[in-house]
Amino acid sequence: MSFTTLTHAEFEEGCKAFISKCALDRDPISRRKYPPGWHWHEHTSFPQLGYMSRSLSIPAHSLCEDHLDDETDEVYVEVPEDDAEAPQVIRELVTVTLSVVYSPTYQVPALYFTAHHTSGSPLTLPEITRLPLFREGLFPDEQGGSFALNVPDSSFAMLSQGDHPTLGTPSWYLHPCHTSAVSPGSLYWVTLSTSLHITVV
Amino acid sequence: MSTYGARPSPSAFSTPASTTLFRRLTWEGTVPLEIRVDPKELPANSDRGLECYYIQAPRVSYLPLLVPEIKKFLMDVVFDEAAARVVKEEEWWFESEEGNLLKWHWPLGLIYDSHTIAASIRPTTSSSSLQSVPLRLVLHLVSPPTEKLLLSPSAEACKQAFMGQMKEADFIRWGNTKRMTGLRKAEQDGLWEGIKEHNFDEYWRVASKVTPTTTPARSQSPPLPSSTSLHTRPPSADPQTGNGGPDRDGAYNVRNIPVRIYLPDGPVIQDVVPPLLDDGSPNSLHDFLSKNLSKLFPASPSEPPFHELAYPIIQGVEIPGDAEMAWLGACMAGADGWVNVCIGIIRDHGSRL
Repeated sequence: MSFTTLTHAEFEEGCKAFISKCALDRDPISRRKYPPGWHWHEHTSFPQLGYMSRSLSIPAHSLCEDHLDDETDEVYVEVPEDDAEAPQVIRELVTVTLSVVYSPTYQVPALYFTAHHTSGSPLTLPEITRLPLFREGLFPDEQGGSFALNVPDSSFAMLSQGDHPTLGTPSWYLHPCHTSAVSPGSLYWVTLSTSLHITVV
Repeated sequence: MSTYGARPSPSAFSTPASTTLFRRLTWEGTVPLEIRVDPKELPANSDRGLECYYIQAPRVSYLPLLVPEIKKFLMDVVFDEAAARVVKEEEWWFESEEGNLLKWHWPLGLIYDSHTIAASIRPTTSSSSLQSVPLRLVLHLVSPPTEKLLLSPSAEACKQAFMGQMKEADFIRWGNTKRMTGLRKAEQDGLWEGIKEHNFDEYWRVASKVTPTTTPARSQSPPLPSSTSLHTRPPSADPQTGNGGPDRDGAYNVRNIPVRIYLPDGPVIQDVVPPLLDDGSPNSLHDFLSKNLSKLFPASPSEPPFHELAYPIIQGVEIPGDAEMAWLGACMAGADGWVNVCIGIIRDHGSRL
């Protein structure tokens, strides 16, 4: 497992550059790459705990109406903008909060996230693996029970629970070795500036 | 508390016997817990008045590992048959007296010490009440606050969290996890079994293969007594050693030491902690704290505020500033490999623990 490492200052710079790109008005295709909604959060006393996050509502799982973009080969998920045109199948929406934080252990960005049903209850691990957030077919049949998802070739669980490094709240944590696992093809796919080594939704 | 100037050499204080001693002291450390079921949740017909359970629990253990014992007590003493049939320990969760949700993946020693330091900033706490008082916990039997807890803890989840922390510590020390992944599954399980059974030898039989040693490089060491042999690794015996250097696994050869700092009202801070400073001298606890908490631990006594503001606690003990981080990483880390430094604040009248 080898990483090109960053300092927190470089991480912060990369995130802020990305966020400022998001703030620009863009055509719909570019908006897929630089969606609005990412915010930088500073910790009042400890600058090395700054991170960026975004909250969004996504369907609980992909359906076959989601289609391939012929040009980019990306799958994207339709989110109806107007209720009157809502698809026949009502899909449950899930609230996901994504945080890109700096991992002091691996010295690269890491993804922490929470996912809740609208009722407030958290998604179970199987439900999380079905979120359009992740590339389809990515997860093996569950190994590891309800706490973490293990993959055969890695000594680290791909997905496990951990405390958000700045907030201290329980989150799901995608191990940095696996960040390329996050789905490259959804409406929410975002490529961060090249100084970062993670592509997130 | 700190010394400035010449530092003692690492080998002066690090004999195999002293390493074993500190590891054993760390392992045998306990914390007093008083666990009380939330009275509103006691099933009808429970024997009230007896629902308080006291335990002197190992610092290296975890809340989910206490659950079987607590459950047995409640079933035997407090619940009647009807209640006992419906008890669901997967819904149990713990809260401190002050209403803080307890983290089941934190070792008990850390939960206790972080509670101690939180008390150090509460105006109502008197100095005498900080002395080894039981940590009073409320045990809830139902309705875990899922927005704060995510998913309910089980001993299996706790084990996975523990193994994750061990691997992360391994990575910090060596830049890879070969020592941990080089263990057979039975050995990895043996670490957790050692914690569950609270068996020092069983734990260290395996942990000695991944934890840094403190023996300085010596080509002709005298033979070591067997009780300490677990805690030093003869250079030739390490199958993973490529070049077989005597100190390859030495505490001062790690890249960094796995350390976290806990403040009375959060957050948790983690920084890169090398064993040696740029000038080649050992990185001391004071060096480390003055780098990360410069206002609480000014680098030199000639800087304001000229008196002590805070103190570091590791494994329940206030540690002197000249303790070396590398040594702490080898001798006073928790069972998961991490050195947890809890920072207490000194009250105006100078009292502390």
